[in-house]
Amino acid sequence: MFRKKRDVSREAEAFNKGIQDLKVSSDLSENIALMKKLFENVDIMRYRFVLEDGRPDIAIVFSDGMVSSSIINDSILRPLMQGGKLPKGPDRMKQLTGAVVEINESELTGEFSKIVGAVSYGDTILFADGCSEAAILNTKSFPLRSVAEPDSEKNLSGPREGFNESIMQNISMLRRRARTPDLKIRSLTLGKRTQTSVMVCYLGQVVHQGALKEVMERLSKIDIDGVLDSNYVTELIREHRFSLFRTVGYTERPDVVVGRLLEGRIAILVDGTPTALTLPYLFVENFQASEDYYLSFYYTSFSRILRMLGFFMTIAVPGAYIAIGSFQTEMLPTSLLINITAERQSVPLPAAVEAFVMLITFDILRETGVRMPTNIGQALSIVGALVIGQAAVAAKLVAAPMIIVVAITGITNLLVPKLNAPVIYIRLFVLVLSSMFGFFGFTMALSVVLIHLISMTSFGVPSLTLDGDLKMGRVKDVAVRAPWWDMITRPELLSKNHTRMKPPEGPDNA
Amino acid sequence: MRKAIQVLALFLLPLFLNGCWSYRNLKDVSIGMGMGLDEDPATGGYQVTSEIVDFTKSAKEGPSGKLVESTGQTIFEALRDSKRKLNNKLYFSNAQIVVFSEAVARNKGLLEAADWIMRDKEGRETLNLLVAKGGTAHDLLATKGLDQSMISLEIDSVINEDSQITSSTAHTELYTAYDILNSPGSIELTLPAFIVVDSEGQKVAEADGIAAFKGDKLVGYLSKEESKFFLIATNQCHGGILVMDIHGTGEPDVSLEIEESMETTSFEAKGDSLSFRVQTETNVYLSETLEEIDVLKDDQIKALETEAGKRLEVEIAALIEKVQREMGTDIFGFGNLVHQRNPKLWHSMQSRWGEIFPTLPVSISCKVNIVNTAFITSKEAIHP
Repeated sequence: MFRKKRDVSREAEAFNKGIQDLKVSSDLSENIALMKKLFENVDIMRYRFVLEDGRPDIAIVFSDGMVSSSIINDSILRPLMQGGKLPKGPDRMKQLTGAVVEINESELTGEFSKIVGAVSYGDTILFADGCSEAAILNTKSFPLRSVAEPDSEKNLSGPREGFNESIMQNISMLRRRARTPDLKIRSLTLGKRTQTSVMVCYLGQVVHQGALKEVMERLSKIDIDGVLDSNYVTELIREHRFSLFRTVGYTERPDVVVGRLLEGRIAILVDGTPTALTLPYLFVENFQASEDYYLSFYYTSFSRILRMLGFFMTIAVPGAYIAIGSFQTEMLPTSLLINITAERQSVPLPAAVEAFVMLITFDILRETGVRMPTNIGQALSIVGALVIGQAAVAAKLVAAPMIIVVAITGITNLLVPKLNAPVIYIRLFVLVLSSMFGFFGFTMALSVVLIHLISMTSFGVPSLTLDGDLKMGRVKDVAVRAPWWDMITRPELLSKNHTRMKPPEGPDNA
Repeated sequence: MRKAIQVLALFLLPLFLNGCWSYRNLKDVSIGMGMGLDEDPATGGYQVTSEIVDFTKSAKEGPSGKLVESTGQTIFEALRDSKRKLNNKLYFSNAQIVVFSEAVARNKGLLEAADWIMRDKEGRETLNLLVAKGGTAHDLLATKGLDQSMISLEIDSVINEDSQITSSTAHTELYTAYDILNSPGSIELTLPAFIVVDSEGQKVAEADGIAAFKGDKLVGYLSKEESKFFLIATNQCHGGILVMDIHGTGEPDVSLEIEESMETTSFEAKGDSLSFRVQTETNVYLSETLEEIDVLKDDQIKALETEAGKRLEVEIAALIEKVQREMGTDIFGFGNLVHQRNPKLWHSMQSRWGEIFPTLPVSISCKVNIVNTAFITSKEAIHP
């Protein structure tokens, strides 16, 4: 496995190295021949020549479909063709970009590696005979998804803007919200073949310096051929690589990113994906939603407690049901015991096996719901609700209480979408131990999860602190969201620059 | 660090609170709701009647009970003997009551049963114990519940709610009974007594006073009237109706509903002679009267309160005297009080307590407060 990995990286290196050595020559036909060789069998490359005295003097190269024709026509070709005498001489290229073509962004380069990257991203390359430099002219224009509210993070109130696939538009959404030179944006390129641009954003005076250093170091070590989504980066830079729990957060909302930057976190934007990464990621963020800060703190605090309860229930309910119904039955109230026993009389499978079967069935239904085309959703509801729910009970294949347990588990699962990966495994783990040792196993399983959570760190910051040092300032944004006038400091673990605002002197602070 | 250890300790504690670790399939147990203990006339051993939940009927009709009988030399043997008839093992962790027939309570005593249940891993310490007065436990369990389909559940809730509503019987759970049986002399056991009566052509169980024990053997009963005064005199009364014959006409003319009753017992020791003082204070509602009482007049209410207090004193005095004379068993816990307040004195007289108790002088003072008189102020309001 490792051997194969090394081979891939060597091959990619050779590929890139080949281009890196290439320099622009002063002979135009040589350059064009080289471009044609490099983009052999890439049939969307267009070569346009400006003739002088009947022979090519200037050439522009661009990639069809990614450029704006009107810019090329109006701002490049027209000045070149109608501008009269074109400049000559050694600094010819400077003259051309400075005085002839009317393009806002241009760069001179002698490296073919840069030229290849630029032309692949919609820029136009200007070669001129006798120049050992080429100009990269910005003519990018390609269709983009419009800015819309992200489906996965819908809000009742608050901003409705969401990221799209263009990194520059995403950056602009951030900058519009944080108009300060303190918003630092550091750019780098990841992916040997995809040449994906990645930007690391943070507020210079607020950011957690240790985490920043760690992130930059880990990003610089990435050596992969392609990056198509930010999750590639997540898995490459996270610690606790095998842990079920996230150590890097994600969001599609620019307001969430800015909110986290203000708390001292770091954001990573990856071109081509609307999902931005934020880090360090604390465990409590699994239960936070951007809406928590936009609605009344009474309302949102309650919702947040519900989400925490939901997480606990979705991992614990099946295990607790088995423990109490098959081991510590004396803990059940008598009437409940009678009802459960009555339901269990003619059911073939033992309760524990039944729980496994039904939980897996629920997960199958859930996965089907995600994968299938939306226009056949009706069929799933009918099969899921009717056949598996009602008919299974009527046919005495499954006891009715188990259906209720699975339903509660499933519904509460959906309360914490950010924890959907861990809960599946933890739930089964709790269930296995509970069906072997009853409440003893139940407690042990939950202990193991808790100990793991406490031991986790995200970029040097502990994700869940349970050191018994409970301070009011630490819990203002945990189970309960304190009102804004009370949150006068930043999270103490995330930022050394604590003070967020002066305590407000409103007319009525009581 | 110390805090971390404390948190860890809290965290580990539940591990030791767990019950049994064995998987129990609910299909494979017969859930016992109540158990009745009779003497087996053939062998002199036990005949055990268990009420189990009947799952052969459809779930819609709701659960009902059915009886299983078995015999054995000991209770445990008898219970296991029932497996010869049943598909499943009997399971008693959620049982509510244990009924002792009068014969078992008089002759065999309770200790054997109490010991076995406390020792057994499935025994529930909050079981209600009771005595089938003048009959067999089997007959009591064979009655049908009026509210509940299972007689054990019905008897259990009758016992549990009695002291709030009627105060006609005592309420002693297994762990209390076990403690009393194992602290000889100082306080004696009282258990609820139940009888079988006819109601609309159907046999039903009814609470009927208190069974008084000496040691673990039954010695006599208090009637349901006496039970009320017993509960007031032992500070266990939380409700019930006091019916008073205020004018001595022989006809009851006032009913007072007990809201709250408090009692304190004290004693005085002079050398070797003890005298006890029982003081009660009872808050009541005036709920029924045919007398001409103007409830707005303080002196009329005061007079009624004084009269009711006197009646109560008479009744309690009669009860204590009856228990001293006829049963000679210290169900009031006088000995326990001496034990707690003056252990030395107690140890000096513990062995002779059986002789001392019947001769103890007890003075009683009762105070009744009418705290509520309802809406009618005087008869004139109705018949002007």
